[in-house]
Amino acid sequence: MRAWRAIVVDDEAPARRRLRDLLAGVEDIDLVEECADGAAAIASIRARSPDVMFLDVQMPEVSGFDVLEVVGAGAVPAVVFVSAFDRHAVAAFDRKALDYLLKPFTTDRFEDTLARIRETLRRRPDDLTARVQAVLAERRPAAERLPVSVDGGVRLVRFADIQWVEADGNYVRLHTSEGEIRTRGTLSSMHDRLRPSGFVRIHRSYVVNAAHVVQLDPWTHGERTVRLTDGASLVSSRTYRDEVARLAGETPHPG
Amino acid sequence: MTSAPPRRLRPRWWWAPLYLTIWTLPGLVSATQLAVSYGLRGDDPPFALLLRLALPGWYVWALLAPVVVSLALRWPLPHDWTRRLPLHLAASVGAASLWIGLVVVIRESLDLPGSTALQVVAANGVAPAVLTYWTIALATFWYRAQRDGRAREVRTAELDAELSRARLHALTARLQPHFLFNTMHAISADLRSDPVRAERMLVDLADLLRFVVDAEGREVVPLDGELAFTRRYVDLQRARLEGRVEIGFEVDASASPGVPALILQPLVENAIEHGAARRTEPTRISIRVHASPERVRVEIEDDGAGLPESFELDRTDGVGLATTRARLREHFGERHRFEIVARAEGGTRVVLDMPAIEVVRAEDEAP
Repeated sequence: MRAWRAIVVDDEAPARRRLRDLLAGVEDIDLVEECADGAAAIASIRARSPDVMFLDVQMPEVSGFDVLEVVGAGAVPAVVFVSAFDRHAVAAFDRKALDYLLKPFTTDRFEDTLARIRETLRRRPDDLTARVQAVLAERRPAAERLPVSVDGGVRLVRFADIQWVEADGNYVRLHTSEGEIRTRGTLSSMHDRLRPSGFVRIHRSYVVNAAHVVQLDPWTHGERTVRLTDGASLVSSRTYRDEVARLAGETPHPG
Repeated sequence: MTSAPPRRLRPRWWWAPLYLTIWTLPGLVSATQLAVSYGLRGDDPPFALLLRLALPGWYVWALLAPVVVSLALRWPLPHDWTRRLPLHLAASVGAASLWIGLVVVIRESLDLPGSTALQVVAANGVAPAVLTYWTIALATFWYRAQRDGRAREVRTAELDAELSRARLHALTARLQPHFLFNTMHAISADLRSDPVRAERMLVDLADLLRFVVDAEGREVVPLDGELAFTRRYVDLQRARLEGRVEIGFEVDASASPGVPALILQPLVENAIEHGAARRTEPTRISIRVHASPERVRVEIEDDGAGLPESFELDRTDGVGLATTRARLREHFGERHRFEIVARAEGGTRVVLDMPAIEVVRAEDEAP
């Protein structure tokens, strides 16, 4: 049987060394790459599609959670969070029964984690991705920036700077006050990430930042034009009539 | 801190009838008393007449009582009693005279039987009137003392809570849990592969914790000790952030005057945690200390992440910086300089210039 492929993501060299040393004695898991920051981790996940990821939560610029936001909760089958001190994150892991290592940890504790990883990789429980997703969703309201992957790197875009988002085939286009950003993904998943920060879907192809909406005018039956601070004027569709009504401060019609 | 404004009661319609009823009660008692004393003498006057005799005196008190209460609230006893006791004595006599005058006028206008002569009313009424004044005043003093006592208890509890919060902040601000746990983790990483380095870090960490524990309750330490502590801290951070920080430490000290304990480390920590640990590029930090017997000057520069755009030292939320600022002010008043500015070439510069504090050595204190 071939060995599972693991990556280690931590900004502190001694912490990477610790996991490298521990994994050196493990036969069924190969350490294929060590990443010193979140951007490197995203690139590594895409290039190598590892089975296991040891992910430090607190890292400068692109955090562990940012990495998962960009690649998606299910991109790596077995994610083990590693944290030195983050009450909120640890509480969230406990609630969702996700495995995590608290620094420093013993070899015994690490062996427990290995056993859990093997179990996860063999049985692939369906709900694991959902649980990781739930932890990510819990953190979203407190987030200020959206990590977006752009040609190999990661850009952190402040929510407040995003005017509207447009679907574009397999990509989405973010219209920001600092120009357009094109990134891989679907509008629905993007909307899931933006919803807690006050973004509203008004059309199959558009999500707008409520904070940037300056005017709503009636258009044809059940449709409206939505004008944004950057001057863009979008036409909403009837499907999202209720959301647009809420945007206008109206109570949506029943039925 | 401003306290909440005193709660104001909204007037209610039933207050006036209630107030009148309260003053009618002693009137009823007086009337009954009169009925009994007349009865003992074999007389049996109608009760309505006795009420007309007894009630006006109490309704006059109903009128005067608010004045007495406000006087008693303004000049509460026993505080400052040498001045206030004569004042209240005079006021009680004045109130009694006023009461007598008003009662005479009312009795005359009601055309009641019995003497309405001023002398008679005064002779019978002055002692009870003075007594009534004092009863109202004493009740007010008592109420006020109760209320102040409760307010004092609340305030004391608040102060205690503030104090322990400040102590807790001081401890956690000195050594961030994040730093402690990551350092321990770094030690565990070297334990097998490089035991000598692991041992070095473990001892450094122990020294660091010992200094913090020792400094607890000591406001001033010699600069030597403070520098040694800061050096240990820097060594540990270097090991933890391997390759990501380059820290230069220059000391030019012709003396080791006293400095507020743990005043340097939070500033170095800021440069590392905010300047270096928040970015992936390597950061250079330079620490320069210049000490003479009179002054200590510290300069910390980094080429790291820099200050947030809206940063103002006077209005920082950072617990560490706010504590440092408050402590410096407490020690030196305006006789110090503490600045944090963005460097034109990127990064941050911190300048701290303070007078030396005379250190009392333990040997000198011994008898």
